[in-house]
Amino acid sequence: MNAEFYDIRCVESSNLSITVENGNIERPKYDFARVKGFRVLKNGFWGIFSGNLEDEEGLRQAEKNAINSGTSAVAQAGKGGKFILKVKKNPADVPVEDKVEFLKEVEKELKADYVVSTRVSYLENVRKFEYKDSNGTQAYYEVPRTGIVVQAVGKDDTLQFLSKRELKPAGYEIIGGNVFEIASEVREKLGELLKASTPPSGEMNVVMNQSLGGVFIHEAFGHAVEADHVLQGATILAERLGEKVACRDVNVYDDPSRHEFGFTPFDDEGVASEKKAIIENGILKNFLHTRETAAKLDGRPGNGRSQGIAEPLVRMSNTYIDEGEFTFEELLEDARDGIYLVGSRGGETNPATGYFHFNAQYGYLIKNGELAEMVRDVSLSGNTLEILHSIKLGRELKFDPGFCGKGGQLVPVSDAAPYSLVKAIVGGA
Amino acid sequence: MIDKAVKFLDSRTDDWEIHSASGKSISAIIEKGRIKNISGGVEEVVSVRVIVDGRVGFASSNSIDGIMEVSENALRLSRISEEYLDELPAGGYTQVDGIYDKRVENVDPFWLRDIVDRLINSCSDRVNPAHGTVDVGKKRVKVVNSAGVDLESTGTACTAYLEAVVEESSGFEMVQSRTLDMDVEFVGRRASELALGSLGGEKIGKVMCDAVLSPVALSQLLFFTLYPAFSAENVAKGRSMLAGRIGEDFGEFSLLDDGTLKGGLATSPFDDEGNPTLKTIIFEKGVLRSFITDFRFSKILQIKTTGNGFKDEATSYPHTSPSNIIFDFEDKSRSIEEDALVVNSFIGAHTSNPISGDFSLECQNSFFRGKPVKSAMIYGNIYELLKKIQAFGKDVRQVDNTVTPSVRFNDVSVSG
Repeated sequence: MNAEFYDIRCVESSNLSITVENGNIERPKYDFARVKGFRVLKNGFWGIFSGNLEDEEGLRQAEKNAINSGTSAVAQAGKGGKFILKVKKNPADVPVEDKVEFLKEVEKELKADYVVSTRVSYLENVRKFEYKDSNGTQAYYEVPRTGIVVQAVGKDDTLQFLSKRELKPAGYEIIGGNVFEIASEVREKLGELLKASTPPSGEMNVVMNQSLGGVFIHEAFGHAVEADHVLQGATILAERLGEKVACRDVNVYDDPSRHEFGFTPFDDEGVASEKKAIIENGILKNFLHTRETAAKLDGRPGNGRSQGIAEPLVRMSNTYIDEGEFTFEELLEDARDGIYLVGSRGGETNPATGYFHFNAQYGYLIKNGELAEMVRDVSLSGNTLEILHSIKLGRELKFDPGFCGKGGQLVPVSDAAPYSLVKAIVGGA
Repeated sequence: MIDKAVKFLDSRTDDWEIHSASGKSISAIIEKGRIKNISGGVEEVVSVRVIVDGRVGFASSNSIDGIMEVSENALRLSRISEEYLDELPAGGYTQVDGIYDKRVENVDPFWLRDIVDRLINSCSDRVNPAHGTVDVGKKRVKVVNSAGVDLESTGTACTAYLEAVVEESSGFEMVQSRTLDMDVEFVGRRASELALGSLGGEKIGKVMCDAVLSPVALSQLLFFTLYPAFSAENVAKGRSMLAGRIGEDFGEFSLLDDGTLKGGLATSPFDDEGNPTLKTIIFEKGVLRSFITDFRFSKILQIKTTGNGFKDEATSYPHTSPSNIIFDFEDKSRSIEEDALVVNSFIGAHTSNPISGDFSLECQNSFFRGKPVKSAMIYGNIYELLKKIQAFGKDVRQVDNTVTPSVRFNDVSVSG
């Protein structure tokens, strides 16, 4: 083949999911897929093909799509290697009946007179990944992911829902007493939430808990340092490398090697995982890269990730804003009057403009530096850079797992933050 | 292979269903005004649903060669399942038009490159066509079950999307079509207009004003706040504000689920369970008339099935999902944008509360009295908002599931 580069990926994934809903095992499901993806870089242009074909035929099909010329290139990936995540308790060895029984026990923990609907879901996945390219890189890994999602709906004057999850790159050993604690917390908070009032709106002091702060750093900032947005000219941070983009105490990292939900031993381009500094002491240090963006912008690859064998895009893994020095009480005191927001129902951002929006699960008003009544359905929006210039960081970093969507692809991630204080626009229903 | 599986399923289960979805697609990605890559692909997913002693099991694989294993896995899961169902539907189909364009079969990378060039060239010289995609695909769905369903349908889908950026402003637009006739020039032109028009926006502050939501914005909002509420499953499970309220008045609008709409993005002759698609009136002049449902929840709620048993992904169980939702209102004015906040799209619509219908969303490409707005959040509750409809515009189009023009609402709360 007359090409600068090619690579071949084979991803095998098996999933079991079981849901107990209102006392019944619903939609138990098993799926298996083994898929192959081929990329050919020719005259600086990518031709790509996916399908279960022999290597030679797959590459031929990919090459057929490489009809243009362009400026694309690839950075080296290193040698690759092999990694198999060892688990203490293989989920496949646990009879499905035991899993069902456990879920039913957890669901009982959610019951209360105000709870009208409950759901506990169990997920188990194994991803086997095989990679080779024309530079001789070869990588292989097997990583299992296991976890539980707990949700309850309560009814009073309004319907409210609350959910929490525990998801890890691990085996069945993570399923235990902690799940009951999560369930009882959901039940208790839901009871309070039904009596909560609607929040005030406008610009105000906001103390974010770890989970919401994590979503903030992921949504509002993380997406803007994905280097594909830089190449598109569609991020407010495009020309800002080496500049001060946040106040001095802000340090932000992305670390796929950390054993949280976004863990991968290699990315989907065969690059071994390593921790990357995004912001250190308020200075923008690095963008996150695929092998292509790294070649164009002189960065380090390692964040090329795919759902299945879709095209690897620049993605985050385990992203966090590091701890500062304030205690939670000091942040409340500093806020004086404002709102304390907890948890998240997800968020979205536009890296080109820097505006973000996300939703908290619930909150409390802060009056005279102390927590006051609970509020529900609170949203937060603002401009990333304005906020990072005035953020105050607390302690007690905590990771929260989730799935991040981009370009129609979902990948497992986690994000984390300490308690923090910002000024942002709050809206409520 | 299939014959062997059918024999196995006949002997070991009370009822079974084999669903297979196979597709072929080709797409291109645009990066900063240039075509960056072209990808093609073929895929297939075969899934088996079984009923044994009234209990449902399900499994899938991406290869027809794996169908025996899939059947065994489905059977195994039926033993622990409490997903109860006593039979599968006898099914049927509705004659529908405009869902398949033969020309898609012949699309090659050169055709795709030309259309991408047209899209890029239709952008204003002043913007950066930062990111975009053109995607063309064909999908064949086959459903066979033990109750006599044996159906097959092939459809095509084409989309073009572009985000234009200028300084710290951006705008996006898209076309979605069942045929190759995509007005890509509209996409480039409109994305450019939105990006340029939004330059130098000013804050609006906290106000109560009339708001006009574009078809894109409405589609985002309704999908996450209203549609879950008229799904029979959510009604049955206590997750809907509409439960037990058939016959009640919710405003003056009409809303129809029409799986048979000519050329509709979600049109098909039958749903993923082999039931014929239908037209279902959900709201008629504001009065809640009916819910939409898949086969299982039609039995639980003892209502007629509406042909809305769709799979989110080929690997998932069919469940109640909207097809084409047609939003309608009597008063259709020519000009509805005067003296209002005009919102072209939202960020974060998926964070709305699907149960209570409460939302608070950041507006993108919004204009107040014709001037660009820097940042604004609209908040409220969908059921209250639906009572505040003032007029419909005339710019009807389909965005994802929703067919609607721009709509003007009275007294919407804005903060920013």
